[in-house]
Amino acid sequence: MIRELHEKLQSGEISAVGLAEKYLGEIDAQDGEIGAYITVDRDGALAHAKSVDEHIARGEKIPLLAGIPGAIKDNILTKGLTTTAGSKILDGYVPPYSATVVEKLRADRATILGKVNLDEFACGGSTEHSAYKVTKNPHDITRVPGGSSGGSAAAVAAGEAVWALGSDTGGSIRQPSSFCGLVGIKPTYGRVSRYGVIAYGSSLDQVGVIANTAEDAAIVLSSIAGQDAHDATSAHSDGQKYEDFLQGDIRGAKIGVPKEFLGNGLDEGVRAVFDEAVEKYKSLGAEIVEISLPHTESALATYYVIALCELSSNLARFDGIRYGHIPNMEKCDSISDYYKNVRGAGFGAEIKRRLMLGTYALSAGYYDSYYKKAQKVRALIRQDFEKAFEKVDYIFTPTVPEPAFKIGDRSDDPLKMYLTDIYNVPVNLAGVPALSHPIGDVDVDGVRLPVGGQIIGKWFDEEGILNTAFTYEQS
Amino acid sequence: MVKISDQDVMGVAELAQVNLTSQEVGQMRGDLESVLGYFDVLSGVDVGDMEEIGHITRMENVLRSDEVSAEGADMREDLLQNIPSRDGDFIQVKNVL
Repeated sequence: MIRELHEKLQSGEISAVGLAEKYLGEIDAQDGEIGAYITVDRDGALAHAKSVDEHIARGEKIPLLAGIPGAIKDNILTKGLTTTAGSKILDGYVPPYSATVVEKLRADRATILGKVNLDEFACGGSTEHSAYKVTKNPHDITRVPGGSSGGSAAAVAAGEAVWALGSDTGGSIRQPSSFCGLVGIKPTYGRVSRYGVIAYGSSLDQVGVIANTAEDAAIVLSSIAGQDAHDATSAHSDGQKYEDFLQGDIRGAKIGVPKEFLGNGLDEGVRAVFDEAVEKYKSLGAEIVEISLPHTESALATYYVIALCELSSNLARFDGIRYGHIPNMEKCDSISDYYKNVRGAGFGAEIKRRLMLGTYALSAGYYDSYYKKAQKVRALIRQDFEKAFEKVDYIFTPTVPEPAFKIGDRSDDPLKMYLTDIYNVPVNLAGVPALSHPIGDVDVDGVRLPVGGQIIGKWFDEEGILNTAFTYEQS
Repeated sequence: MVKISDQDVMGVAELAQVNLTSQEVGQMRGDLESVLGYFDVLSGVDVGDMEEIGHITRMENVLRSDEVSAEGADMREDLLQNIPSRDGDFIQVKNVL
């Protein structure tokens, strides 16, 4: 989609303003129901689009992404444009700087339509935990779009954006992409800068892309990837353009299917779709190999201990002093009383729950048995992937054990909600790149719901996994 | 089986510097027990002499040269505008001492 739009813009067949108007029109028409956007920057988007048209009129060559309208997940800072992280505690917060990924998109002249909804502080798998609104799945509005990048996925699936940035700590790009029938990529840890991204689990977080096709995801990823002096955890990059690596040929590729991922808890309908996708990969010339990731069973607990501990540290900055919601400071007895009031009023229920769990696990007497132990198990999980990748080039699994569930279905049962992440978290623990791409759909109560397949690659092999998904798509 | 008391919950809330209503305390007790109980999976994992994961992609520390720069002088007002309680160029806080 992006390439075709780009060619039409460059040739003058369509205008950037016209394109922005079209997507803003879709937001006006649909978003009352879908609820993907928290903030729409109509004026900013149109002013920018106008400048792109002026450049084209002067005969200049524009970058691939110039004038292409997209949305940014609201945990990514945008200078001058409200950023809430889906939380009351940041209601009305206007960042004084933009995240590096936003600066890079601006350098490529993309049109940013606005900020999209998420579970508060990226903590959730349904986008039901935002302080602002519940986002609906465009395929069935009684169901969740997934989370935490539910707004990003819903916006693209509903045609309210061509592309969207999301973030993924334990599946938050891949799972909503699967639920909404889209391509969603979480790059290798360190591939994309986290500067200006409100942190959830600092050793797990990565910004990535949700789009309609593998090529579109590749194009946006090329824009945002790269080493950043502001992020010491970002990795050296050769500045490759991922869209240049889409050959559409995977003959001879070895694809591993981990036996631990195909057991109990996997929905029958999803399993059937997955098995067909495996056959399709075979027909494309890939060799399917059964592999084992022996520590899979401990991955979910490992993930939640690490993520929640890191979250509790990261949330310490929300003290209502430099920014944040303030409930009558004069009425508080002391600074501590003030902090407790600000945080008690500003954090939602799920955040409080995670904050409490993380604080408990890090407290004296528990640190060794929880966080320290989890970081050791994590080393074992990474080793599982290292061993697997000696035998195969890619790993293929269902993205989620089930299709999109109904809104309200599990907001009362935190553990049930956490279990949805089971196929995704090992990826973040190991730091490897992974994407979800559509592989079919299942019939649930007379509605066809999308199903995604997850392709996991070796560290820094974004080219490989994007090409694999691209090849599948093309056939 | 992890047993959490209301006292435990309030102790953690104190560490986390967050207010909980009495209803939230009750709910939190159950949630903590349930999730911490699940975390018990980890106690059964034999890690041998495995070291904790240090850095995910095993890279080196990144340093910059020790030079003073005057960046961001124009950011002042942008930074100050988000402060909830302000008196000119001062941030107002409760007594810390």
